[in-house]
Amino acid sequence: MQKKNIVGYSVIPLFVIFLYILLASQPIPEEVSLAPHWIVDLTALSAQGPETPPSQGVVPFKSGSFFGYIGVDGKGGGLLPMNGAVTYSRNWWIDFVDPSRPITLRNPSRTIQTTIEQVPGYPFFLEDRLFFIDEEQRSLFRYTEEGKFLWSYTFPGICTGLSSGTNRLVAGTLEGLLVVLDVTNGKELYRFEPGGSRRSLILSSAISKNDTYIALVAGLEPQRFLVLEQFKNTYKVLYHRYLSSNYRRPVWCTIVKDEWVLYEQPEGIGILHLFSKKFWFLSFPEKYRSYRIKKIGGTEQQGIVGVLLSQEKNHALLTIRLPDTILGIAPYEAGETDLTTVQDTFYLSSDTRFISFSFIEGR
Amino acid sequence: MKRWGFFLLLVSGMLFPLFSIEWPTDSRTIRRSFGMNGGGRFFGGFEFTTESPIYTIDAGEVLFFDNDFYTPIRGFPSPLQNWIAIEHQEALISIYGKLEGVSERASALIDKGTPLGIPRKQRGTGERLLYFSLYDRENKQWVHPALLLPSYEDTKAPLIRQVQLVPRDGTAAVVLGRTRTCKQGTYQIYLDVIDTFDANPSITTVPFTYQCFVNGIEHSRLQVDTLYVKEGKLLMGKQKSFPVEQVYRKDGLLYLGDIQLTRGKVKIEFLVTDLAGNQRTSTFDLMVE
Repeated sequence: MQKKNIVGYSVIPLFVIFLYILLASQPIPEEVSLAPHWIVDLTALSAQGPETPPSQGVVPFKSGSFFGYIGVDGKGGGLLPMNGAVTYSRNWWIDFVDPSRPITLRNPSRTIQTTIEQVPGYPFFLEDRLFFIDEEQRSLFRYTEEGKFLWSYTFPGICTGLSSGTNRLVAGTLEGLLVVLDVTNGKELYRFEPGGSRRSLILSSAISKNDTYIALVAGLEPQRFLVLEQFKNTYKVLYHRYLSSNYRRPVWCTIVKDEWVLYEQPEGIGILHLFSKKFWFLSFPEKYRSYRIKKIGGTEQQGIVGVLLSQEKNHALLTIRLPDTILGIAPYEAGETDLTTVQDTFYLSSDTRFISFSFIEGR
Repeated sequence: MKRWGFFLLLVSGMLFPLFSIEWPTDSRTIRRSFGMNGGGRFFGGFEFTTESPIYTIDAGEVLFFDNDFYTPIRGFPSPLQNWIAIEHQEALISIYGKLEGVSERASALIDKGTPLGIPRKQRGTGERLLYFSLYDRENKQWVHPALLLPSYEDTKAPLIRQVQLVPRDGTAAVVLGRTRTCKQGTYQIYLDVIDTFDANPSITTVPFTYQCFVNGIEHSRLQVDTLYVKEGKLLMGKQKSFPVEQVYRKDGLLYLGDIQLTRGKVKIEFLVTDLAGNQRTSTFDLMVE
């Protein structure tokens, strides 16, 4: 009888420990370490463009009066002439003065791809595709890289923001309309008016690379953050949140890895995990709370994000492991700076330096 | 001296009852006006050449401002450059673009006549230009600013420079005034009209109403008062709408509908009216064979 009790008393704690291990345990977090790749002195680059485009591809950079491309391995870089406002992608660039003049589309090696004599507005690239927006910010035009007109679409109001996925494009307007277009033919696939605020407008919109999710910041008093999820041929509201902010300017909103949404908030950043609908608010370190977000760049495989913060000539690169672990913050001074991500590598440019680094995860 | 008349008051009264606004600048040098045909595209506001300060046209609330041409947030470089949108009573939004800079304000509420800065020097030309437009949120349409702005003196009538009848079969156009005969058939009517005003006679604007009468009966009418979008396409005119791409030809001519001419004598009359109510009439007698 006594033996039975002893067995019973020892089995119960063992069972509890077993249950705890099974249900409450968490894997040991992976160590993340910074892996610097290269630093290039921009002032030492030749004004010829990359001599031979490296086989692994190139990264564009613009900083102050500089514009150019550099190989992802840090080699073969070069500066390019800039007379007007340069717009660029990884494969194309245009030096644009005003809509009354023809434009020339070139590749990073300065080879002319095509010239478009009569342009319908201001050129720009989204996901390496060539678009124009008219001077009243109302009509969008898509052209091929050969300079052939594909389609145009006119928004009911002034366009405040555009974002492109693989096959779809999302746009927001001043009077509060969100429109989803088919990027191949310009057909309107879906429209949505968030409403629910005293004043309607779309401040920012983003679409995931796989076209499944759309995130937006909309309205005034109250301002709202919404996420839409694709449902057959339409979208339905997946997540909604009232915000304490009342921004009246463009705000950052971006989707990383088709899984996370990051959006600008006063003194920090709102982070939403799309699958679990869990929300985090990541507060910036105190010194940087008055800084403005200049750019957000997310890696494609790793859940690591770079947030470039700026206040006049003072900048800081904040690296975050999603959802809310600050890996580090690197303050620096520069006139102009930019952040680019290609796959899992970060590229950070300043007035005179261009650096490349990534993060290695391992136990 | 002729001022904007009863006609204008009637139209603006229909759009925005009991609503008065001020000019956004002291300058009356309107480089481009509402409805101007820019290579087949409809200009939906006023573009002023001015170095003078810019003011709010009425009290309102800052709805949105954008002060970074290059920011990657919006996905494209902003053609309106530094711009601000202010919402007023009656859901009217005034938009001021191409400003030197737009700063964040402590209060979103803004009084009538509040300075917004000066226009920015444009790349290439070095000119300082103000883009100004009015958007009616309720009806989702751009409104001709002159319908709501205080009137200015204008005694000059529009000028009908040319009227063409373009046959559907693709044969040569009939230029009215030069030709007195034509074959029977269906023709497209195209007009080349300009308008100027007293403050700056060197600058051409767009007349407000175009009418075509055939044997004394109104055949077609086009009014340049509003601009709106339906299914991704621009349409002009509040009472009767026409697609802009159908009306505005790339060479600057304006399409005023089709006309079917049958054998016999026909009298075609064109009446063009500007915002001040100044009118110009051109009458053509044609023998259809």
